[in-house]
Amino acid sequence: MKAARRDTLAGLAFVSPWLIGFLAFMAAPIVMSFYYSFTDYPLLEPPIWIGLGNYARMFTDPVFWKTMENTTVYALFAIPIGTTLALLVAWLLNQNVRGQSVFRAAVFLPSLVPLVAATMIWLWLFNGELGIINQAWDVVGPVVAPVVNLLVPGLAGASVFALTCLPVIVLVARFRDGQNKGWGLFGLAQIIFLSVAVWLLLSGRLGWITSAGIPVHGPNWLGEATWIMPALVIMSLWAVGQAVVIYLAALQDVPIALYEAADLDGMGPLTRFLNVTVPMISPVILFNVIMAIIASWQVFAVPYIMLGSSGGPDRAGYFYTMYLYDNAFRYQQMGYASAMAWVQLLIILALTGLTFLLSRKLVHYRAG
Amino acid sequence: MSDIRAITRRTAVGVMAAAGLGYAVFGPRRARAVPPGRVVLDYWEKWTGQEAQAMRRVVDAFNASQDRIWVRYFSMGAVDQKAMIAIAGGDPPDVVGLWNFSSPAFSEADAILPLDEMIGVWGDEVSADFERLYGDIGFRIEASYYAGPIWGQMHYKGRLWGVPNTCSSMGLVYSRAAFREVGLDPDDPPKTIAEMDEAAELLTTRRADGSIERIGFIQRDPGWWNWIWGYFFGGSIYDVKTNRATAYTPENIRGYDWVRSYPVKYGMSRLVSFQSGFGNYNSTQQPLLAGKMAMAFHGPFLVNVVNTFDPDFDYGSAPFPVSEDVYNPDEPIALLESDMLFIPKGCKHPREAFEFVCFTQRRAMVELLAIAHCKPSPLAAVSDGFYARHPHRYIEVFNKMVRSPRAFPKPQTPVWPQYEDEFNAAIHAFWTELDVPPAEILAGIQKRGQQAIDQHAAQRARRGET
Repeated sequence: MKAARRDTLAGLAFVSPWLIGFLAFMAAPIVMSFYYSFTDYPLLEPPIWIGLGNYARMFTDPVFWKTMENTTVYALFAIPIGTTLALLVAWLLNQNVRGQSVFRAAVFLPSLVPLVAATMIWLWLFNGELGIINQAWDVVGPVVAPVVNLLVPGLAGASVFALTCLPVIVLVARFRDGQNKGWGLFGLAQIIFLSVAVWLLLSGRLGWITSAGIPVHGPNWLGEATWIMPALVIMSLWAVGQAVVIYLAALQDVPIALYEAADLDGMGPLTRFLNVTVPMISPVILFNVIMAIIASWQVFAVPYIMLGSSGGPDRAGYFYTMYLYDNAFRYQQMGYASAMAWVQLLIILALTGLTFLLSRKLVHYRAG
Repeated sequence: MSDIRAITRRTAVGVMAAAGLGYAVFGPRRARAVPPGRVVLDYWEKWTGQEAQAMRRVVDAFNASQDRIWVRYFSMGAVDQKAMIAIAGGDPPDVVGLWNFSSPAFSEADAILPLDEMIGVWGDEVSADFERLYGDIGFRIEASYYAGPIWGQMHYKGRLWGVPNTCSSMGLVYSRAAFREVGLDPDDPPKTIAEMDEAAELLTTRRADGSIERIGFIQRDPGWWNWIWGYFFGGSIYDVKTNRATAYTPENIRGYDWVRSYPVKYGMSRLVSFQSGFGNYNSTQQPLLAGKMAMAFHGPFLVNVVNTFDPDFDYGSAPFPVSEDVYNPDEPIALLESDMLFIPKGCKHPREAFEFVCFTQRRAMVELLAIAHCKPSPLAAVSDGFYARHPHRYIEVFNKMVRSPRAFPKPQTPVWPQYEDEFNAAIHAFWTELDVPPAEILAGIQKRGQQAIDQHAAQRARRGET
């Protein structure tokens, strides 16, 4: 008993730096911020209770809604694209090819570059006149853009169809009898169509694709409100290496016996990937998606460095956390900022809960 | 079990030893040894690089001039936010270097100490000390000692809150070589907006494909003063007497119609694309130095960049052109900004902080900084040889602007950061949303600016203030 107590004390002593830090620097401010969210608190003077005033103010604050819109749009594009790309790259890196370790290191390397340094590099890459992205676009654009623009009306038609009909098919196909029906080619096609539909419509709504199609020459990425969000989404892919490493570990954990069984059943590489690999790593996909949702609602440093405190032209790169920070430390509205922080927490909790709910039928947990 | 405990104990001791060693090797160092027996003041300032070095010379001069006080100088970014948090946390520096437009927010929040009270309590004592130490007092914190508009900026709601360590007026800076190249007289820069437009047109050059090679002038570079353009048409964006946002006035509408005329004339996409190729301010790629612009709205401190990267660059300076109906060569319209020293509430050594602040106001110190920062003097008069020693060839032009009755500061309202952000966000609309009239954009800015002002007023009212 005495030894057990000593062990407990030793254990507590070892975790005490974290425990004390958590209580002093996290738990206490969290509790205090909840109280401040109901007060008028200009930082240098005592808070005054105003009830739900800060929460009510959000409904009539256009900048609040602008930052909500920006953050949502960013999440809608950055999470699916980032997840798909990370999975694809992990799958490629899992192939047995010469120089495998070099490729793996190369993919992870950008994650090690300090964020500020990486952002400064991307500032130059996105430079409207001298940037390498536009230099390349100016070469490729005149050839590719007319072809893509010919396809856009067709894609738009398919999108309308997908948006109106496919959701019903998807729901019937996926959740019939409450069983997991697996990931067939049909399922993949549904997802691709739906994604293309949503992205095309959103892209049109946001002005990235106009009636004239995509531009022949590179846009002013950070100089025009329309192109700021695509630039930030593209830059978010820079750090995809972290997710790749997690996917890679999961891919290597898929039992070989399942692949052998799939081979015996005559599955090709794609159906094997969809019916064996994806279900087996689906818990990891869920984990990465949830982490990405949380991260997307905490975007701050990159747009702050790239675009300044008000988020660039027309506040197109002004994110929720930036506005929260400005209210707290530039405008001295700590009460309003605290209320925003709690709304942010509720949004993240709701999105995480919704993701868990929607993923119940799609995520496969191995027995034991 | 005992083995595990032994390992745990060994590990714990090892970890602690490693932490101690790490702290000893990499831990914080005292920047400079403080002589024993001195009162130590912490002074936070915004400047970095060359400008910080100049201020350090002033601090060193103070530390060497007496044996009772030692000032520790800390140079940092976002000094206003850090100071605010430190004051709220009860551990502020003794002196903080902010801006003239900081005093409304800081004074209304009761975060800084009024200097007029300190002058009453310690003024004579400090003057006597200075006379004993230096042979003369060397400063006077009174109206006759400072340029008129600077004296105004030191006050807010009738109280004296800060003193300037530097100031700067903004005007037209241009390339004399570019003027000569297109047949303009470099000694006769544009004085009115109409002349400015004509010169800008002449100075703009295009490549064979129609893209812009050099722009005569654009209002979006360096982009630090997006709220200012109505002032050159006789407008202003805030009425301090009524506490009203006044962005939506005929004068401001004329100003922003003028801003709009540039993307209309030169092509919005072309201009935005061209401007995105501009390099950093503090580099050889500064657009005026790189030959991408011929005229700019800027401060005299730009010449420090010129002298660092291209000392042969042939620049000229003049008050910024204004619309013909408000043109008066004796009273140029000019933005006037000041860097101000404040003493935070709750500081440990207010008496010593006041003495240091007074020391910075000695003419020799003020001029040392003005020359090093390439700025005009905030004082009413300059010493003999000030102009000869100054690195800016046209500093007299800027000095005259500092003293102009029509020199104006950034609006003195505690909600200035919010109000300015509205202009920063909207400048894009003035440039690119060509189907939305500038008047409509200004109306929106005024509405949101007034909302911020009203919110602040409600906040003060809750605390029983008006």
